[in-house]
Amino acid sequence: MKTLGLILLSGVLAVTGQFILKLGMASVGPMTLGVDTLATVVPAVVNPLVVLGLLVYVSGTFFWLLVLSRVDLSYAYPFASLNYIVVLLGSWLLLGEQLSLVRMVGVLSICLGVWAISRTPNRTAAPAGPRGSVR
Amino acid sequence: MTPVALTLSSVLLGVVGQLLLKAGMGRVGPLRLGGTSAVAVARRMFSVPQVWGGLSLYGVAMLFWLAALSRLELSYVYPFLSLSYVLIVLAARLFLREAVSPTRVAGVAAICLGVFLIARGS
Repeated sequence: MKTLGLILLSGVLAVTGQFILKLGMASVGPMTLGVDTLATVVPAVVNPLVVLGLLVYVSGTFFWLLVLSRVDLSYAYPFASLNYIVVLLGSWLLLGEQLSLVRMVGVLSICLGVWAISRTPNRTAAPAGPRGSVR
Repeated sequence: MTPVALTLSSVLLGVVGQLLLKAGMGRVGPLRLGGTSAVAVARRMFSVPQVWGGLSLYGVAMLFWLAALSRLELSYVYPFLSLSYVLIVLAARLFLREAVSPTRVAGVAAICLGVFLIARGS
C-alpha cells in the first residue's frame, strides 16, 4: 500500500476507535477513579464496544508505526492533525454533539500549531529509525 | 477528580509512558521483525524495566481516558490530546537539551490557545 494510504488508514482507525470507545462508555455510564474504582473500571474494560474500540485504536497505532518506519515524521505529522477535524465533524454528525464556533476555531488553531511544529527543521542529526508516535 | 483533571492526567501519563518506552527501546537497540521469532523479540523488549514501566503507564493513561470519555463530549475532550505535542517539546527542551526554534514556540502557543478556547467554550 502507498504510504499516503497507510497514513489515512491509520487516521481513520484511530478516530473510529475513539468513536467506538465513546459509544461504549456512554453505555457503561459515568466512570470515576476514586474509592469505588474497581466497581466502575471492571464494567468498562469488559464492555464489548470498549474492547472493540481499543482494538481498532491499537491497530491504528500499528499502521502509524509502519508509516513512521517509511517516511519522515515531519511529513507524516500534519496528516495526524486532520484527526482533530474529523473528530469534530463526526461528533457533530454521528453523536449529535454541539458544533460551536469556539470549538471550530480551537481545532483550527491546534491544526495550525501541529503544522508549525512539524515544519521546523531538525537541528540534530536524526537517529536511525522512527522516533515514535505521540498521539 | 474532575473530568478535565482526568483528561489532563491521561495526557501527562501517556507522554511519560512514551518517553519511558523510548528510553527503554534505546537500551534494547534496533529490532528486526524478520529472521528472529516474535518470542525472541518480545523477550528482549521485556528484559528492560523501562518498557514495562512505559506500557503500564499507557494502561493507566487509557483508564483515565475512558473515565474522561464517560463524562465529557468527544468533541470537547479529544482536542486535549494535542497537549501531548506541547509536553513533548517541553520535555525535549528540559531533558534532552534540544534547541526549540521560534516557529516551534509559535506552534506550541497555537495548540495551547486552541485547547484553552475549547476548554473555556463550554
